[in-house]
Amino acid sequence: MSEIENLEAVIAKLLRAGVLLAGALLATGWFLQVIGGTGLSLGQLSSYASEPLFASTSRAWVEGNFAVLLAYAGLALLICLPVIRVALTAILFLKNGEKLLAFIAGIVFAALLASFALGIEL
Amino acid sequence: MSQLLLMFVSIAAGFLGSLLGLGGGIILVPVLTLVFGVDIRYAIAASLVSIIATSSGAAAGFLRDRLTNLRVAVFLEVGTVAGAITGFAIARKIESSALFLLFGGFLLFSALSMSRKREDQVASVDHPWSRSMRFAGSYPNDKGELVDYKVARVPLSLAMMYAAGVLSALLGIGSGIFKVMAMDGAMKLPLKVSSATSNFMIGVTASASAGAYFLQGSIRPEIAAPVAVGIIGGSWFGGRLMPKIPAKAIRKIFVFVLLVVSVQMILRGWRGV
Repeated sequence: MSEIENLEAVIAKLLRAGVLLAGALLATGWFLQVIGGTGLSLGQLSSYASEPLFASTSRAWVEGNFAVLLAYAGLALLICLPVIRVALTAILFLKNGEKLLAFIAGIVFAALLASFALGIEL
Repeated sequence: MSQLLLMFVSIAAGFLGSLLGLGGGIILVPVLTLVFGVDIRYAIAASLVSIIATSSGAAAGFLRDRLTNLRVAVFLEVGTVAGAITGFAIARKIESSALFLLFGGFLLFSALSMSRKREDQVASVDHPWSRSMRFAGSYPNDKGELVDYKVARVPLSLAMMYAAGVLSALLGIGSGIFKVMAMDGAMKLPLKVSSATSNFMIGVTASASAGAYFLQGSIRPEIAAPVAVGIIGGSWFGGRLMPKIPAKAIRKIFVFVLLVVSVQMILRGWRGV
């Protein structure tokens, strides 16, 4: 197996491990929320009222609500996995001496970060 | 209690999704809104998370099978991510009822395109962009022989990917159906290659808008946790049992279900939610 194929396999394994870890964090957070009686029921989410992530996590931190924080950590990890994949792909292309494709992967990476920033209300 | 039920529904969605080769979004958004009564904005945001889980979890298998064209995927992701940014910006301004109408229309379109037979097309000439980025490749066919392929109409496919990205962010879907159309229809990639490459790409497309929805606070763990846990489990089972299940028969039933759900979503949007 070439070095590139090896790297591809490592990236794929990393992604799968990341999904499982995120799933475990979400499941634990959810379980703790249920037994702790915190969190909203689905019925309470029938109308939309968004609160910025920063506000809800800092409140959870102050209240010591680790169940919510664990769930948010799982979500953050899951959402970041594809971003990490794109960054690693860029490195993979660069190692392979393919500057154009590495550059394109870099653009995708930057666009992903820019897209995330759109979610922050100013 | 309803969250436990939602987890079981998500297991079924992940299972069906991996069997039929589509993301869970097409199933999850209607279930969350029509059955569980969740606001469509929360449903869309939670669904995006499940798409990332399916796509990232499956990446290992697709790369191993030598079907994913990583070069094509990275290039076309420029289009889908740009589209997702646009989609997220539109989603902020649009009414819930419009989202129901659009989703219903999308389901109708999906049902029609799923019932149509796809055939392998072969590109005779390699597009100049494809030559400069070395998109052409080879893949193992059913007999295990390596077949070479060329890549046509790259700019058209990039434009279609932009549209797929807009829909993904707007409706909380992977829009794999559009991606596959852009790849086997426009670029004339072999069907197997375009399906695998699409599955590989949907995670990146979904994460573009999921990250924005997450920071905005639209992804509620109360919904996303049971959904993600269920989808991860369900797609794992689906992948294992795939060879033993008559996917064609399931596909036919699923097309019928899509049509019924599509009418319900459109009606819901028509009544103004």
